[in-house]
Amino acid sequence: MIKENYHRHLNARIIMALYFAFSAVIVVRLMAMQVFSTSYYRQASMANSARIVPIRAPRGLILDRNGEIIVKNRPSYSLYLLPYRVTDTTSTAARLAEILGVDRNYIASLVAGARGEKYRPIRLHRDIDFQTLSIIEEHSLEIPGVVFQIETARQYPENGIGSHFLGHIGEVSEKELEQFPDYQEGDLIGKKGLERQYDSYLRGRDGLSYLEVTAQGQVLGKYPGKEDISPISGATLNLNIDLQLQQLADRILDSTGQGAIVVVDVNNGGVLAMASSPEFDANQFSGVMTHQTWSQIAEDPRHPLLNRAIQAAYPPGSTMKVFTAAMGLYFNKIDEQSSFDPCRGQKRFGNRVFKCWRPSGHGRLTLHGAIVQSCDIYFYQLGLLCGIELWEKFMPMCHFGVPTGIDIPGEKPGNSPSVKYYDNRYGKYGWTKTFVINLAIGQGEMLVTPLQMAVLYAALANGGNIYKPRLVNSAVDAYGNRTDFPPQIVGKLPIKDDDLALIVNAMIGVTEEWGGTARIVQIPGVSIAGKTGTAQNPHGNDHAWFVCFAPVDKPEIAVSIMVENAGHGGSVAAPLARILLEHYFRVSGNPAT
Amino acid sequence: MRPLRSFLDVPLLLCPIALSLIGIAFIYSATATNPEPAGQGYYLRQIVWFGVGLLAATALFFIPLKVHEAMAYVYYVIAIGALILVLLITKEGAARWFTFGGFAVQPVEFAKFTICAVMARFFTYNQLKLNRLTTLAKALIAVLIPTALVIKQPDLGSSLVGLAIFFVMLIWSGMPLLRILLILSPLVSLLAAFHWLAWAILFIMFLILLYIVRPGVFVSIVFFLLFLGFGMATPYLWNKLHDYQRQRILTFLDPGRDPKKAGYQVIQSKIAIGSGGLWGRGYMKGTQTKLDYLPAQHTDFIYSVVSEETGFLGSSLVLLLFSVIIVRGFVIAYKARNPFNSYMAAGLSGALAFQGLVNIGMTLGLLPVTGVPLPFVSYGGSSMLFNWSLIGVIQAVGRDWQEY
Repeated sequence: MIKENYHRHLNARIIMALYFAFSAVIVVRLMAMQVFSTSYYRQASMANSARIVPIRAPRGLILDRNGEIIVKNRPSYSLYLLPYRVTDTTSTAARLAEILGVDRNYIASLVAGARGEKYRPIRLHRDIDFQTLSIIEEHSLEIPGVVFQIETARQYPENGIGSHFLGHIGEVSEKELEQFPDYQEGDLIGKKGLERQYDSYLRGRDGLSYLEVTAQGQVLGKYPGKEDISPISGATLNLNIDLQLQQLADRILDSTGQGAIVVVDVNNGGVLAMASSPEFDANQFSGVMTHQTWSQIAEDPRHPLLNRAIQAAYPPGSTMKVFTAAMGLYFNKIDEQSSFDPCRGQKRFGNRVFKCWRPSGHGRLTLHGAIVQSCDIYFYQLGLLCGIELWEKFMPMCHFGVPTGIDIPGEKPGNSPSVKYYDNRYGKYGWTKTFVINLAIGQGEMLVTPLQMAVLYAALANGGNIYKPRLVNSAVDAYGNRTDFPPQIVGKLPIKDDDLALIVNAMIGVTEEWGGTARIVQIPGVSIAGKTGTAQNPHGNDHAWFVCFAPVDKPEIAVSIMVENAGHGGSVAAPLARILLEHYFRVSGNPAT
Repeated sequence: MRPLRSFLDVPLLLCPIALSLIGIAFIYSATATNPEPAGQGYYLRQIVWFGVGLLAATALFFIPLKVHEAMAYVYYVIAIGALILVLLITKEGAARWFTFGGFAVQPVEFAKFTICAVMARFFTYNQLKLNRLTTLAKALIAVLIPTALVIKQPDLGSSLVGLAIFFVMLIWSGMPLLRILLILSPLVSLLAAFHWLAWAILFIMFLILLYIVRPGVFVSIVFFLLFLGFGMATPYLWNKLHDYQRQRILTFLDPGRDPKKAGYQVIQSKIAIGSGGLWGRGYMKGTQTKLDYLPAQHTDFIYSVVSEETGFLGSSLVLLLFSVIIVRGFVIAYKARNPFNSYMAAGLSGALAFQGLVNIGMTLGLLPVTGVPLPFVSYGGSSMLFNWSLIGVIQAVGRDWQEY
């Protein structure tokens, strides 16, 4: 038998020491984690199990000046997929891709992206149309796990009314996420027009809901002890737009051709109507756009997405002549009585012959007659008399070549040539002083947007104040706080009062006197000052222009109309102005007058 | 009638009962919200196994230790046979279970008991020859055969229990500590070889150790070669490990390296334990558990469930109850006069202590994830049966302490 004392006493101690040493490490670790770092681990635990779900704030309404709704929200169906109910990913993806007209890999990648969180719904498609919805309902047995959820979508006016300035919303892009850190993936953001410019007003503030979720993403209910944060609706935008006038402008422009109409309030720059034809249906952008629809719109040779009122610059044609006249008066090159060589239908300058629009000629004219009859020969000579040096001084003062600053993105500044411009374009000796001859009648490299013309004619009407055009008058948030966007004068026409009276008088003649180019625009009791334009362009038929304001004695509105490749301003554009003015002044068919 | 205390160690009975009940309560908590109804019945089965365990403990309590001593090698052969059989009959997945009806039995649990009996008998009969290398080699081989079979299953955590028992027995045999260190040195070399500098420092320490212990020329040369050989074998063995085993070791060294997969368990376990705080989040109210963020919550990570729901107090209580079992086990081993009995109680207590510490250390991120259950608390029939059997045997040792 072995000896009793065989170190057992010592060895029991060693083992106990080892055991308790490690136990002590465990206790210290427990203390460190449970007593001293509880809040850290509690937070980590909550980060695990609390899912923060945004409660979408209703986007703000857009109203016209009379409070009529232009853009509102409507309920829509969004399509979701519940991964845990999908039995066969490949066949489901294939079937869905077929029905929705999207790539099957796109759907497969959405499903694969949610691996592990099998209870978390995946959004497949926003704002699904009724036909697709019925097809999916019919096939619901073949595609288990596909469900609908009601969400709000934006409802824009029918027939594309105002589509260009209203713009549309869409899912936030990666680039926008970088730019606006308070947006999250999947959020909707204003993409174009007012929706974009006033996004911060319209958006409101999303609320938050704290949900308790399992590791598989199954929502169990509200997170205990966490109150929801209610959403705050977006602000209502009150526009200066007059919806009826806008609808009329859109309708008459559509029936005439491609182009733009802008109506502004001459006394504050408020935009009463802004039409651009052809329009597009902004409602198509509210769901996930199929490739087909997108290419249909994007590849349309008529460029329906282009807002011709601000994003397209055209030669102004004869509508420019009132400013050419103003330049001559301003630099005292001419006065009321001055006249040049008589118009014989054409005139030779250097080795080139320049024609008047009227082949038989106008004879000898003073300024008044030259504007009324829009005599080209008179203005060729006036342009040459002033020269490019005075042109490049005067026109920028009238804000030609300068963006108007309207409150939607994407505006073009147009172009007012200068010596430097020609030097850059043609080289120092590649052009001659006679280029100004063309500019004087609004041809050549002179380019304006229809909006610019409206704003400048409004300035002629109101005594020279160039207002910044504004679509939005005010925004009223959910608490009733009102933000006004007051009129803003950004410049003053360099025209003396006497000269202005002279010009305006001639512009009245355009619509009223014998030989005036726009005699078609006459409304009993309302005197109208305007100017036609027929702008030649290298791409086809002439662009028809008519710009005017009324009433002359107490001006209210200015109208700028431009119809592409439509012919004479007097016969194509001017009648449209008459319809709009008649509507505005309630002359025709309105029992109230 | 003799008082109860004279033949039964009362704390050694009450503490395992308490732990078993705690286990059942928290298995219920961990599985009550399981979305599948089949996943909710674990606590009922655990109650059944608790009863079976108590019966087994009672039975073993009345079997004299002499029987185990006599039958040690028979057990051993049966255990090896069972381990080979389970490897042979399992077609796919981990080869750990024999399934009878609805119940699965793990032969590895029986193997742990067997190793203990064989070692106890071997150490008792070779007490005076323990200084000889050949004796130790024989003992080690006896341990390594079942160990290798368990690694093959694969079950790295359980395979280490055999080595732990061997280590406890070495200490219990009265061998000087430095000599034990010398015996362990090849293993240390194996682990240290992951880093050349660590290995180099250990190599110098090894030479110093050799100089102090002076085990003789032959033994010195053998250990010298073993030290070098194990160091060089490391890269080879590393490649031999299963991918998930390598992941676990790497993850233990740096849990953040793959938070979604390998590190996920430890991260979630630590969140569960830490968020328990001082008092816990309340029974059935742990979100890590209830919402299923905690993996293997009714088995390997049951301690995390207890910690989340009862906080530092509950975690400490479990550790305390467990420590009482270990201390009583070693006290009985210390008191026992019969060397086989003493070795037996020490080895079994050591096996319990090793499993408990490894499990808790794992849930706290102190040790790698090895899949060792927490004795008495974790869900698992074989584990419950085995651990209660140990209590029966240790109690028997305590009852017969005066026996030579």
